[in-house]
Amino acid sequence: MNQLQSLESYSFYLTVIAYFLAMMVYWIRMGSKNKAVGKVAAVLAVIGWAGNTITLITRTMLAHRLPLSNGYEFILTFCWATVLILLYYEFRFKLKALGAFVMPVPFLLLAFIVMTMGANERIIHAIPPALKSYWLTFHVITAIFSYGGFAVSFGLAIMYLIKTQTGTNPNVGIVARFPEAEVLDELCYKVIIFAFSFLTLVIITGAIWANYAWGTYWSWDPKETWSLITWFIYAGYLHARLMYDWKGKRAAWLAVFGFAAVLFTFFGVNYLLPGLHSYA
Amino acid sequence: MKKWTKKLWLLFTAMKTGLILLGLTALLSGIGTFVSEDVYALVWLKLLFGLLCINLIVCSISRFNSAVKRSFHPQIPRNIHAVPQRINYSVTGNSSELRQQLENVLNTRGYRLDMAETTDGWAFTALKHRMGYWGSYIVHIAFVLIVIGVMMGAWGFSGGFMGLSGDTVKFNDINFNKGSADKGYSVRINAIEDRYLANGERDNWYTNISIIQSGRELATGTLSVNHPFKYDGVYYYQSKYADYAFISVELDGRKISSMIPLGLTADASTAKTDFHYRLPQKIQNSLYVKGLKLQNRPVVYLQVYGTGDKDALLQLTPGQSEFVFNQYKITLENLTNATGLQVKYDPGVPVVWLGCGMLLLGLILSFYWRPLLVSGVFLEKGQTGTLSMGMSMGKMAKPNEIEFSNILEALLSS
Repeated sequence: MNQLQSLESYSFYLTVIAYFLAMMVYWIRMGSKNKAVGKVAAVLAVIGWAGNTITLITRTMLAHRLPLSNGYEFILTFCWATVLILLYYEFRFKLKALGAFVMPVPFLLLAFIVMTMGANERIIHAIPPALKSYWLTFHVITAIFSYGGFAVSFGLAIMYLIKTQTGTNPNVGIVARFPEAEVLDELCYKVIIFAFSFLTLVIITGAIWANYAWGTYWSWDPKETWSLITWFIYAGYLHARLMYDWKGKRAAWLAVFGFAAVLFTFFGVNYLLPGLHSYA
Repeated sequence: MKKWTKKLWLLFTAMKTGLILLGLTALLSGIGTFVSEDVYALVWLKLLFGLLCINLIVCSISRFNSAVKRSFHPQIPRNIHAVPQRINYSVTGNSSELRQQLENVLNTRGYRLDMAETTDGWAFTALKHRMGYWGSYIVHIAFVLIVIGVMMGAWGFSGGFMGLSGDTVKFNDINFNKGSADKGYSVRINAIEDRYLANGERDNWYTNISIIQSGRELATGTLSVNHPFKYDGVYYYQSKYADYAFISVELDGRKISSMIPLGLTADASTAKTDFHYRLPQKIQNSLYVKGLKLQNRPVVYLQVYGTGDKDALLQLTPGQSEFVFNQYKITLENLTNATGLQVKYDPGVPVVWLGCGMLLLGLILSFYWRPLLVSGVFLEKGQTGTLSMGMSMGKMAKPNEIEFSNILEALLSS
């Protein structure tokens, strides 16, 4: 048991360090023409993700359940999903610069754990009766993939905005290494489709579970409400993209704004607006 | 009047209107999380949802014919200008051979092919995943269905009660905070249990209830958190649980009994801190008490307050007594527990679930079953001719470009 606890702790810190180094090397890669730097960044991200996976597996073994029941566990799995989706898009579409804009998200989240969460929040606690349901697994797993996808779409939107910034020559400097603006726009749309589908599942599974647990599928709880607001924002993005003059920059800003809503749904609601959904 | 009707129709069919309504609904919902839950009961929010539904219904009606046309009667181009230009290619060859090859390739790839003769050749249109055109349509109808389901909830009722083991509550005496009900039966609480696992963790709260009418048991069952009990369309949810202590206070031969609500504490060392969260209960003139129960054990801690700054900490098991302030004899007579049940009937729930299911179906069709439309025109020039074909861009150009190149590759290699 002690060995597993030590392994969880070591792998957690390995993850933090690897994500930090990956982020720094991705940034260096933006200014460097050396392709090897990009490979190092990707390898560090993979190492961090492996550490993240080990942390989650050891925690599962210690707790005898999936690590999905409090803020600490949710952040760990959120980071895991974000980096997984990032690595998929990086390798599939050869987007070497994407890591520079997405990697800060999981690193900052883990830094938040290190700086603000005491040992008590990281200890494995028994879960209350309200969380003892199979719906917990469906609901939280769809949430991590949804949020992870939105984090990657945020990175793509930022790249698009930088690429198309007025006065910037898209064929010179760091920006020249970004894919074409049209490609970035389309990829961002693709990722948001993926993440939006999962967000819809998050809301629906949450409603079904709430109906079983509390007898009401919707109670305007701050977490529920902000998930719905996030859903509205991205629904707006998907519609706006179909309108000719909303494609491109305006759509990218909506994607950035949408991710701000995602962050508020997690952090803002947890720390500013307590409610019934006070678990994670 | 007709002018106004047309203006209103155009307003509600505009996508901009939908976006504005979405934005306003999001804004008002967000304000409610900071200000008060009362915002959600405001007429304005209900009006916004109503307008959003009208916008969705009107958009669905106005786009219905075009959805039917696109999916079941895609237009065959009559000339080269009607062929998609952005993803486009021209092939020269023999008319009948090319036509046969095209048919084979497109049929093999799952396209529904429509051909037509033109004055100087022939033309075609081929469509795959045509149900994808209905995706967004289904999503919009689903949202309206969900709102209808929510509105149907107004015909239901919701309430709750607390009870001790052995209590029988008439259904019509239940405190309903929404709606009302008239049922001729009663609910009897047979047993209440705060169950713990072997490792000391709390498992769940269980309540065994029976539905009784004229002395006859109509149904019985056990409910717990996440596992409600259902009878006659009404759901019973385990919503609260509380431990209570029956204590008696004796002074100069006079005995007064009281029932004290108990909080939970992990052990004696945490009791002092846990008492901070308890409200004192008056059990006699100038005597107040706070109570805690040891988790998973029949041990009670009582913090007793007298006049001035006097207070005393007692640890008792059922039947045990102790003296406080050299005056009062406090006895823990018994421990009991109470269950809090929520009672609910909502006829709109199945409609909401239907709407959710349709929403998922619509999203799958919209995002993952994208319609692929290829069309072309063959212009004859003697024995041979030129086939000009193209693919519509759709919402994502790149995947369509890839699909078109695959079709071309198969066509040119056959």
